[in-house]
Amino acid sequence: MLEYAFMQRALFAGILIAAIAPFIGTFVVVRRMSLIGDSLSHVALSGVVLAAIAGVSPVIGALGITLAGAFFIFFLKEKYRSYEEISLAVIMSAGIALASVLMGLSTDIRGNFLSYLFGSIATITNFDIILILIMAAVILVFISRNYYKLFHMSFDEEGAKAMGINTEHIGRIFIILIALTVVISMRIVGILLISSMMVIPVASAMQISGSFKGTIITAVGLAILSMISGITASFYFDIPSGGAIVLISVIILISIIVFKGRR
Amino acid sequence: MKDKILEVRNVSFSYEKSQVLQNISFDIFEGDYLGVIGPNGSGKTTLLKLCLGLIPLQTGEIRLFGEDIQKTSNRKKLSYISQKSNSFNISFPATVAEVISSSIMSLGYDKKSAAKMTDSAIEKIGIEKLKDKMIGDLSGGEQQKAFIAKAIATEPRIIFLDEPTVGIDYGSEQFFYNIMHHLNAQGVTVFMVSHDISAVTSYTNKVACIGENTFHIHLNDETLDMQKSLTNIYGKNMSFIAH
Repeated sequence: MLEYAFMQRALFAGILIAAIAPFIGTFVVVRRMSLIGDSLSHVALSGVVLAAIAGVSPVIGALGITLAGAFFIFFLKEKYRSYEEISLAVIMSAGIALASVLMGLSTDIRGNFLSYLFGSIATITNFDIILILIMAAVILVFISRNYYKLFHMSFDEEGAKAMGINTEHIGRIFIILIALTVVISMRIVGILLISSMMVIPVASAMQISGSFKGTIITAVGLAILSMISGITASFYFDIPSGGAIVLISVIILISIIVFKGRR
Repeated sequence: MKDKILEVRNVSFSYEKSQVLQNISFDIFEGDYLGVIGPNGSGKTTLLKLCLGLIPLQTGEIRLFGEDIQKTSNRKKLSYISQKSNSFNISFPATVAEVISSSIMSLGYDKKSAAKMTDSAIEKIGIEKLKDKMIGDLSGGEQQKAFIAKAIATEPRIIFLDEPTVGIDYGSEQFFYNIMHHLNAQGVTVFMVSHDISAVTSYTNKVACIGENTFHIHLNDETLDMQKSLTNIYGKNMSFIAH
């Protein structure tokens, strides 16, 4: 299968996503922010439709709208400080509502709709690869530079703030990075399944790892395994890549839980 | 003359229409062990969070080590142990050593110094056996020891405590107060908010009684005046038994 250029692109992008999604996902899970990925991915859908109408790359459309969604979350979180989940519910509904209205205005997107929802290995272009590489570099550099600050504020947010860490600033950039992760994962994993790549490998790793760094490394390893297996299954059985990747992740998670329970 | 660590001047604070602090002023000097007591809703935790700069001031001024609390560059000199369930993510998937060393490194210390400071803090608290255990697998008392080790690892000059012994057993509570007493004897300033009147009056050397529109600080041996303040803020005739 590697003789095909689209498969080379899919595997390259897939492995990159598998390295980044659980890396940022470990912090998403410990900060109990799993729903943000879901909310922003629904917003990304409207960006894809808008891009089809405007005739630009879906990645660019999703990037613009998803970042706007992240800023809207900041705005709503300020308004509903004690009920932060309201902002996520509003953003998720708004994203789907906007996508459905825009789809009514455009016929171009409808044929490819399922591939955006559940992922497709055949749709990644060289331009997408360049955008994915740039965004992945931004995510990796930020998380690596702020790893210990993110760790401290994830464990003890008030303590970190009291000791001088700008938790609001880092927290906001972190949400923007979740938005970027959603956008780079969109093509292969699919909009409806993106947040599972940030959560399921981490959930598996937490069952078997004996440290925080071990959790991150194990989660990345399991995600790469699921990604390569899922893309291969998608190629040979002609099934949506996102569904295959996520199902394999779930099988790994269940196997670990069952195996651990028997020991 | 001892160094002034914290200055609170004319601080008032209200939540929407409810005034919780009214024109409070006091100083904390190096080596003080201040206990703040008062009924629910009297503003104890609000006062502590204002002193830490966790919530913005509405009126008045707070200075830590001589600098405005919102702008101070001296935050590495303080530590804070909050109410465990309110702030700490106690099921966090990290070892005790990782929690301590990563928190130190988040403040700008390099890996080598952080490892040294972590080992020293773990040794001081006597939790060498817990070092490589996951924080979520520890008992409440063991977790509290890990939090103390995290708090003292950077050798702070002042430690802020918010209801530090809630949810831990008697033995762990005694261990906690002994450690704080030992640190205070070495010159570390302690600012503790607590509901436990007998612990505050037993272990601290200054007691702040905070109630509706009242705030009085007493030296620990001013027993009669302190009883009057307690009776005033709790609305009942109060007496206390030393630990």
